[in-house]
Amino acid sequence: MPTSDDIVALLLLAIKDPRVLQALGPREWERLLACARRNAVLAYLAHRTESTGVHERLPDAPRVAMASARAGARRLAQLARWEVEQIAQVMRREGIPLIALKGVAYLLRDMPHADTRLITDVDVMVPRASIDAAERYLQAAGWRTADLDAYDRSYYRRWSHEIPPMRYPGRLLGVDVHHTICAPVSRLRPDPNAFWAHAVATRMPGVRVLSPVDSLLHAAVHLFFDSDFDSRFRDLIDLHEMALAFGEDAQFWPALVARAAELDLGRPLYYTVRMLGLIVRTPLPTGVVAEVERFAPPAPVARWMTRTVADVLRPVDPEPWPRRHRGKLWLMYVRSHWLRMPAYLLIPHLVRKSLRRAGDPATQTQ
Amino acid sequence: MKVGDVPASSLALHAARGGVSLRIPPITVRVRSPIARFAQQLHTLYGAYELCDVADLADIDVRLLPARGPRRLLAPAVRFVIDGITPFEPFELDHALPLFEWGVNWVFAHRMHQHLLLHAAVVERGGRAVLLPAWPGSGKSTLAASLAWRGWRYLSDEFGIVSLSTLAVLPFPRPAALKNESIDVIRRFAAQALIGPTFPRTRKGAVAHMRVPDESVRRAAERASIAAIVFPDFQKGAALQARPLGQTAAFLKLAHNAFNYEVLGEAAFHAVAAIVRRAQCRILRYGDLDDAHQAIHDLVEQPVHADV
Repeated sequence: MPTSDDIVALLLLAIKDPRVLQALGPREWERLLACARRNAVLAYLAHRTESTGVHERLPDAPRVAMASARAGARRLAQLARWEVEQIAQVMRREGIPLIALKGVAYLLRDMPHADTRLITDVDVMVPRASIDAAERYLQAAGWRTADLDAYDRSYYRRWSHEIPPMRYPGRLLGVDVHHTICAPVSRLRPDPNAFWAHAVATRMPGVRVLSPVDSLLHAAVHLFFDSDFDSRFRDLIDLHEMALAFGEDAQFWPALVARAAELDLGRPLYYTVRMLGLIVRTPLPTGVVAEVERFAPPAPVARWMTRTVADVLRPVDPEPWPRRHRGKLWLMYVRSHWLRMPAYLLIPHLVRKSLRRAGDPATQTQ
Repeated sequence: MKVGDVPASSLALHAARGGVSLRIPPITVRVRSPIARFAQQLHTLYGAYELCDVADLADIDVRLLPARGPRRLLAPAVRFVIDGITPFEPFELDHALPLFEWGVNWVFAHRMHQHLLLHAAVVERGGRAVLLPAWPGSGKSTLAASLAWRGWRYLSDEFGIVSLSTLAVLPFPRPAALKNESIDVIRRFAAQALIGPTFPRTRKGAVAHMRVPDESVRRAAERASIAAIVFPDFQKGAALQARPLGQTAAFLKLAHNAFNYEVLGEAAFHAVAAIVRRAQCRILRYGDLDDAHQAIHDLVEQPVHADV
């Protein structure tokens, strides 16, 4: 009976070199498929087997399961492309510039893994000055804002980097409209104008994406400074794929390090490089690991953080139940809020959230 | 070895430890649960299905576990765990079986994109399958369950699984989920039907499950070709009326209700188009099951392509 560590190691190995899949027994296959599903990378693994010519040589059951996951993810990608086109029509008409972020940006860039992601939301950014207008125009065109209580609404308005999520009635995907890269009160405060200045056009008229360097930094901020570290291996794969694709340009890594220093985003870049090396074993140019050391936190923090973050970002094996790492996930949740809000805001916010959770039956039975 | 060949107590013991794997063609489902009453109900409803080696690859591996937490001391509940996540709110502890049935349907609909998944009950006779598409309150389950006791093979209660390459329908015989008045209707209609416990107050009202006739389970690997599509329209006291339905209208109804039409895209379009071209399509209004049976019987006895 393979252990959890075996299964996680197998998944990581298979992503790097799908040829290892040709020697698996049925029980290992099942555990691997479950693990890939749990971490939202089954369609990605399928893509890896296809692009390495292994797919057709796999046994029927896993081959069919992978092809099926791939079809489901492709459908979401199609919906996401279409949704951003609908948003772009509104913004073009009103003359509001638009940047597509994350999943949609990978699609517009034709990144190989873009249509393997299980997209649930379309993320876009508009200039800070246009955010209220953009929201009004989208509402006039039929999008609706999610029902939120008064506290959540004011939280979004005052402290968040996006407006409350919107959705067009009857459509599967939600829309998150951002006006900056990080929460306005967080300790990282890169100037959004710097991102706008380097954004690049796509084949979709009126829709830009962040420059390669900024795309990676943006994904890094969102992974390492977010509150929820549960099941984020998928986001590490995004960083991995960007590192591979953008890294083909010899200028990419030096530019990335310089840009991180310029925007004061060295810390998320440090964690990106550490985690890609530790977990995915992404081939990185020699020198980069040493170069980002200057962005590291003080040594004891770096040691604790590296260990904790690696534990929670590693793929989760769904076989053990209850799940592992619940305590560590909670610590990372508190940390993210610590980074995002000053203490006089943070403590009342967390108290409110936990009181509300205590009154909510849905979250009591974990 | 079949589920019914082992004592219920032994099935419960296995379910609580390594799990039991049931062959429910076209898939294998492994279920693990320490809830003895649930294992007992599985034993009754799934008695005719093959038990597989738990080491074999299961397409769906579910756990039904008692929910934990302080509130659960007062209101014990059961969770459906699939691949380490719990996609639904817990059900009350006694409702493990409806949660299992409903959850397996949900997983199946999200995972089996190698086939076109129509939302329909399916029965077959003489190699000719009849799709009974879902249509809210239409009575597809009642109709399919009743046909199962009048010489028809019961293929499915919920999924019309269509092979994209051959357009044949694949059986997926699972217990029929009878709701509210249907439970007594089937009890009265077929005394030999084995119906499990009634679960009151589920999201769809009272639900009870009818065990699939053993013959249908035995032949569950046999595919059939679709001869007719009958949209049931049960109206209390209504006289029988079978209205032909145009191919375009039938196409839209089938496609709109399918579980994965959009996922499969063009392949689904061609499959649904080919199905409605070949099959007799009817809207069947009925107030009496025997009348409806006669109409369906007459429909498939006609030569195929009669109205093309």
